[in-house]
Amino acid sequence: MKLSPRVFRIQWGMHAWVGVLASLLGFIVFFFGVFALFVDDMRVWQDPALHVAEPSEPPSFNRLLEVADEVHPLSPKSSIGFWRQEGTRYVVAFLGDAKTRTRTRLWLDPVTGNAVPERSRLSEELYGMHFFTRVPKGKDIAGLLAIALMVALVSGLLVHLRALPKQWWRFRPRKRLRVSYSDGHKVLGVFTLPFAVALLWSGAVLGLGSWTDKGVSSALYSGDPRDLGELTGGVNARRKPLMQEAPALTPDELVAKAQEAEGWNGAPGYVSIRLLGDANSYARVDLEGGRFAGWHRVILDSVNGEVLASAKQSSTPSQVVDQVLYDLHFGRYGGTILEFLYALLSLAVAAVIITGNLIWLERRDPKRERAGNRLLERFTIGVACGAVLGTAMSLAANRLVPLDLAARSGWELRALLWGWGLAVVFAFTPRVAPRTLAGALLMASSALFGGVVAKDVICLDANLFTAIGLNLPAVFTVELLLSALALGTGVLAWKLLRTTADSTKEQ
Amino acid sequence: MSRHMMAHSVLRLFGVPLATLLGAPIAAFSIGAALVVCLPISEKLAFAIGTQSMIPLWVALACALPMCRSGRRAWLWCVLFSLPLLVVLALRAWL
Repeated sequence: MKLSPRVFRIQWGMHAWVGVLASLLGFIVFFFGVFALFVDDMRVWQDPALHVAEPSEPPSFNRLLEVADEVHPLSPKSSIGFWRQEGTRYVVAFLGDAKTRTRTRLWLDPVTGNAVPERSRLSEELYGMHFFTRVPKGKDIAGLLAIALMVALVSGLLVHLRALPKQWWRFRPRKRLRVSYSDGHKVLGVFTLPFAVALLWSGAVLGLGSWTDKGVSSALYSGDPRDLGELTGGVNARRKPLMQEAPALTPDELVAKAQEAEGWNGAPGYVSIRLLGDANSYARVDLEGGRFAGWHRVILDSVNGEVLASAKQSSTPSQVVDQVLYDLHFGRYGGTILEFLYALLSLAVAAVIITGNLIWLERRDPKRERAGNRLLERFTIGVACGAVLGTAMSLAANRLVPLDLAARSGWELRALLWGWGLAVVFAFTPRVAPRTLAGALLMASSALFGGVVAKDVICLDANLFTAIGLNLPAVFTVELLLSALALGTGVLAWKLLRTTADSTKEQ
Repeated sequence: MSRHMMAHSVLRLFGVPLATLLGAPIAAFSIGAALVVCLPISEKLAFAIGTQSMIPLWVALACALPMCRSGRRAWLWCVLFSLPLLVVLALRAWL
């Protein structure tokens, strides 16, 4: 297909401008997407106290309720929830006291009765960075960004479509920068194309889906939330206290009732009971649903076990599509190997984004005569390498800050933001080649990633070499990821520093 | 420069980009919402198809609208795409 010169020019301009404007935020989304893939594993890895192997049988929720009651007694009409974590014996307990109106999050061991307070939020912070949770309306911004990146992708594909078979495999690293960046951009762009389309499309739906649903509801159904709920298929039920006491079924009995009602024997992943002790008390049971099936959620009356709402009753095509897109987005259909493949492809897309910026600079201003282009180059290095360094610093903080320090999780976030900010400032160091600065930042990141793995090998029972033997696959997965990041950033830093040294010698 | 000429220049400069930025999502939403109402299938399935089609339509329009030769044409396309929904809403209000 040959485009007319006018269409080619328009699509080319759009690819370049949309690409450069969305590039840095796009890099952040794809880089932190790697940690979003491993959020469950990292939740176990981040606190060494949780490095206890999972039993073969799922935990008894009756026992968990006893442990929670001993550790943190709740007043009547309070709420309690248990969230089972793969890869550890510990279970997360959410305790909401009705009298004091406080919420507590604890990790409970159903075997020993041990309770560990939440001492790290590293996994949640890195996961949240994937869709800017710390920024107001961050999820919507991430959705809009996915649209912008899809526009850049489609326009780039249109522009390169004709020459694609020729450019598919062509990579000439020894040619001048503009050519090697361009080759890298195209080769990686072609190989990651199906992945990028799937991730951007599903990401846009996850980010903006609530807006499209609400928009249709407002335009066509007068904004009635009940109508919207019926169309989207949410399983929800809310009750008010009756202010009368009544004996409730045990959590394990409620799980059995939910499995019976749903006709599904999936393991319970989350069980919660609201309005404890009240005659109107109700429970939510989420049963694991398998690939692309999401959770089988059932809401029951805790006193008589009557089903109030269930996934089976309220399943809709919209919900099915959303679930497929969610699992597709987070790679929850092929195990750990697929997650690693997703991580590799995410980093490749991040590289496509950054090489796009470098091509922009090399084409328009190879000698960086304009201040705006110098700023763009330094800012790209600062933001991109800073995200890597900040992450490495937050991981190091996780292992170095004492476990009993108050508000410990705040230090992890501070390390991330400070590392990132300092990297941006460092990238503007005058009279130092930008490649040298990028190399130095990546070298520091590599040392930190590697340092965390090495410290775990020296100080912890569960580490890169022992975790599999101890039946702790989550710990092994994270250690392997950090080792790969240490190696990858180290090799990239070495290449950047070496090519800078070579070009200095030639001059 | 007269006010008329200035308005003309501004329209020339911002007409197409503005239609791409604002008109594309509005038109995509309108087509999707019209599909929800008009598709001769169950309401729940039509809702899924209509809402899921909005994002690909948005991207397609954002890539296609910049190729219009003027902002007026780009906006005209947006209005044309929004017409089915407007007709549906008008009919609903009237009936």
